[in-house]
Amino acid sequence: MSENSRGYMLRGALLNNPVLFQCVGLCSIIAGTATLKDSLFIAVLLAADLIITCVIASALLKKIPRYVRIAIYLMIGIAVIYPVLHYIEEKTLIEITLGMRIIIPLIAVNSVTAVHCETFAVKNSVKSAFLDALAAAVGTGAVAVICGIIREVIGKGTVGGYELNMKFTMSTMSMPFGCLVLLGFLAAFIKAGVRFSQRNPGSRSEEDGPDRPEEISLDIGSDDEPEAVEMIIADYDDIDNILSSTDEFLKSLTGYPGDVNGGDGE
Amino acid sequence: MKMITGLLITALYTVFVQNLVMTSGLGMSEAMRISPRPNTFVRFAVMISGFSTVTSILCNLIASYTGSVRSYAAKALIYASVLAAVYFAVAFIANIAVKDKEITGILGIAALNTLVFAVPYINDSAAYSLTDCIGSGLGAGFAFVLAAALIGSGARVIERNKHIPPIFKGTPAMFFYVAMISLGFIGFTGTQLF
Repeated sequence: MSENSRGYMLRGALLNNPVLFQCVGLCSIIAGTATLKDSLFIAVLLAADLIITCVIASALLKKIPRYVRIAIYLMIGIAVIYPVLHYIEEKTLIEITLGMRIIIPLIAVNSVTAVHCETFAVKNSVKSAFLDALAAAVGTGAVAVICGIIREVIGKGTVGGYELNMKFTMSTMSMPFGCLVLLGFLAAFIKAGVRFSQRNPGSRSEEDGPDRPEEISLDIGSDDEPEAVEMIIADYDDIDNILSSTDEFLKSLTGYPGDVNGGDGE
Repeated sequence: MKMITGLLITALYTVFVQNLVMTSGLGMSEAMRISPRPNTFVRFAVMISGFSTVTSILCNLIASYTGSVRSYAAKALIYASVLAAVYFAVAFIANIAVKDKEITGILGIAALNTLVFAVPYINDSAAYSLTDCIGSGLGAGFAFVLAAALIGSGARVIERNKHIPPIFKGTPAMFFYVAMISLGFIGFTGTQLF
């Protein structure tokens, strides 16, 4: 993998994780990751939808008006999801819950796809769009699987359907509450990891460092975004003001003078 | 009178008891991302109400005309086609008639999100009548306003709080806060928590 590709992967999957730091694709993660099996379904289908839609958007939809493109994303999503749902219904060997039969089609309208297509794919080459979508899919999929495992273990006392004979279980973990708490800890864990690597620059190689702004250029809220794109992502500038440490986090990653060492006057 | 009562009961149930944003995570991304902008999220919620009501009515009419479709794959195709058609018609008219770029800009996200797309499924699984479908569609928009308002006000308090450890500031604290509100709404449904 080239250095540029590594940069895309690191940025898209970890530092700029769609779920944890952009707050997109939350519905699929919250509603569809109560068990490991469900989360694997969600991760694979979301990746397929995201990659196919971004590649098509980059290759064919650049000249089409934005309001038409958004409807096309939905139809591409359904074209990806429909055969899978149809196959699941035909082959009764694959058992999924009634809830999942409703949640799976919702992947067609997930916000990860819309945001990545509009902010990146339609402005870049097919290869770049593919890499960006792949990185986002890996990041989202990893979060889904981690949530699936932990929620199933704590919520049901099983993993992948196998009984763990746990002394107690907490059914709240199967609810949105459990998933949101987990997402909070995952986001904090990544932030702590980045902080640690910033404080100990010798603990990693020079090549893969997230503090190289020329490679890991985080373009959220940048001035060169067209007005329409700013609308679709609901004005990241405002949200960054509210979610202040995300802003601080991004600044520290790009080497912006700020609270790199965590001393914010507490 | 009975029809209006039914509509109101369904709408109130959708907003306060079965708040789809808080109890199912539907439209959670949009609620979290748009909550710091009260002027925008009210307009956004009106659009969500409009799209979910119209889509619900059309899906209900299609179901009553063609008979109950059992296949979930077929339902997905029908609901997506109806939603795409409604969105496309509204967006086309808005692009010609409305010059406000903010409205046309958020129209796509207001129409094509998990909350609006899920409403016809919920109506179908609950076997709602046409009146109930209208109530459920309107309720989805109000549920979004309530969720976005709660998230937005909490986000401002979190931003000002100096006692939150640095690594938990921002999205981690927001997730914890939204988790607490979600737990509160789950309490209304009577679900056993432990």
